Amino acid sequence: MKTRIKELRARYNMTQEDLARKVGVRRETILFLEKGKYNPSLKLAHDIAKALKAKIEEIFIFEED
Amino acid sequence: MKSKGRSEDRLKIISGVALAVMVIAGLVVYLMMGVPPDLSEITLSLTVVIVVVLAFVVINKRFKAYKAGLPAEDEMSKKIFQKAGYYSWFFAIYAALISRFIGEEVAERTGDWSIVGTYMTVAVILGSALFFFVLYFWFSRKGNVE
Repeated sequence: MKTRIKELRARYNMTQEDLARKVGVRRETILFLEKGKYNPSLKLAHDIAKALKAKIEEIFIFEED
Repeated sequence: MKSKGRSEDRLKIISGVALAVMVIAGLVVYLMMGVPPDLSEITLSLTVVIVVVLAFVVINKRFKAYKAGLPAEDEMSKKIFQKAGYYSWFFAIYAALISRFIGEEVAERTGDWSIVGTYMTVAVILGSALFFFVLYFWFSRKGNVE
């Protein structure tokens, strides 16, 4: 899974900690999400999309095997 | 709602520190009151200290997040805890089964039958706790908890 969190975060001049605070998770979770190492719950994906003013499918890109 | 979560986080951190301090205090009292500890008691005591230190690392991580105004626990950290706990549970079951045979074997060779029973039970519990923390840190590093 690839994510555009880092790119969108930079667009809004937001740090990992800012985004973490907005969606109510720890900073490490944002770090692993950006690396594509953690698959978030639908609720968290929705909250991140809302915080970054984008659609879920624009942020989380699933690649076919 | 948010302040309820904050007070829950604070309570968890405080109770974690209190529990760790109580374990260390109990260990110190046990070692001071009894006869000079033998090798097996020293090994178990050292394992207790390692487990408590690792617990402190987890508590410190939570405290740092709390201090930064972030939740001490979130969905990822809970998943990591659950996954580490799941494997540790299996480890504990197999360790309990194997420890009986290992304990008897060691007792026969050394002639010290005091290690069978309580000692092995404590060793299994501490071993499982140690295994849990090793897995916890491994999964925390890896990130992928699916």
